[in-house]
Amino acid sequence: MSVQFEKPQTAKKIIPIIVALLLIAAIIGGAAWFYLSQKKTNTAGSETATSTPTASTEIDTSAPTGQATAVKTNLTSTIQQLNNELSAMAADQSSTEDATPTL
Amino acid sequence: MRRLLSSLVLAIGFILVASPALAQTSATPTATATVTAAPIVSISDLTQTNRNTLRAALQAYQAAKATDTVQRMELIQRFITAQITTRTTAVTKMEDVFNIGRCKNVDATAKTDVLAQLTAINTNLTTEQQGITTLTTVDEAKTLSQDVIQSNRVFVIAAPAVYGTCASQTVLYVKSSKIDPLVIKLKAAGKDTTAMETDLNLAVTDATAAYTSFLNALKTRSTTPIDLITTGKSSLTKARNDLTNAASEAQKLADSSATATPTTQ
Repeated sequence: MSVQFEKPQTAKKIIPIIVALLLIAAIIGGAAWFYLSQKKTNTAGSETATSTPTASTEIDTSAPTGQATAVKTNLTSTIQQLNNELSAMAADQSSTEDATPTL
Repeated sequence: MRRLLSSLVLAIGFILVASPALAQTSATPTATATVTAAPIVSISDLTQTNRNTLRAALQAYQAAKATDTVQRMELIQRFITAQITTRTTAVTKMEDVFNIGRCKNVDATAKTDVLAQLTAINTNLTTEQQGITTLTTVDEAKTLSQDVIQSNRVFVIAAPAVYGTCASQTVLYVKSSKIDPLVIKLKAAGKDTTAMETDLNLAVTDATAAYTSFLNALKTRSTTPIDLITTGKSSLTKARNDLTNAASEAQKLADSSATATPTTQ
């Protein structure tokens, strides 16, 4: 009788452990999935931004508000790039490297 | 029953953890909008190490005794080599802008035209490098040194011209590839984009004019007055102002759309 009684007790102890392990696995798996998904999104963003090297953000463009916001954000980014290009150009124009040295 | 509960808990836990990832891969139409432009380093700064070497070579030559013609010849040849190396490095940095950098996606014809001019500078520099070995006097070396500067004008003309062509082409690229598709959607939704499009078209006109000035400056770099760069910069500044006005109109559209359809927020 005692042998038959102990088997279910052992099973009772093991089941919560298995459940806990599965939960941990699910959490780690979910976190990894989330991380990889985020990484993929960021990579795609930087690829698009190669022509205008920038950080990027996703805007829902399914509705006019998002579409207009995306237009504005793209324009703002381009304006910033133009400002940066103009500053760099000014720096090169003031370079003394193309002045004839005293030889 | 206990197994059923365990499975249920497991499923809920998994959904809670994975739902943000699922949300990330949803089919909602999105646009990758750029927010912060990365800093752009001037060609002068990108070649700082070479320029330091160049400066040291010049000082060494200037410190040599006027009577020691053999040493002076050797030092001026080193100086010219440093001049050429600095410019070759600068040209590579400029090519990178269109080959792998921020302007790699611009119009193919523009890219070809700009890169062809940079190749021409490199060819010229190679010829000048070969000329060093044939020098017989310090005076000949001085002439060659001056030619390296004057026939290429890498820093005061080519560098701003290349950055200018890149900037003006970026305006055209962003307008055609990113803005136009959104404008089509806005129009389809019944939005009045007239004011915004007027500003965008002005930006295209000014950016095109800027590109023409910069490319001409690059093509005629050895003789062109610096004014051609100034003209290009002026057109580019106008294009930037047009884009600022267009962005303001886009904001108005976003505000009016949000008022009209609050559920889209």
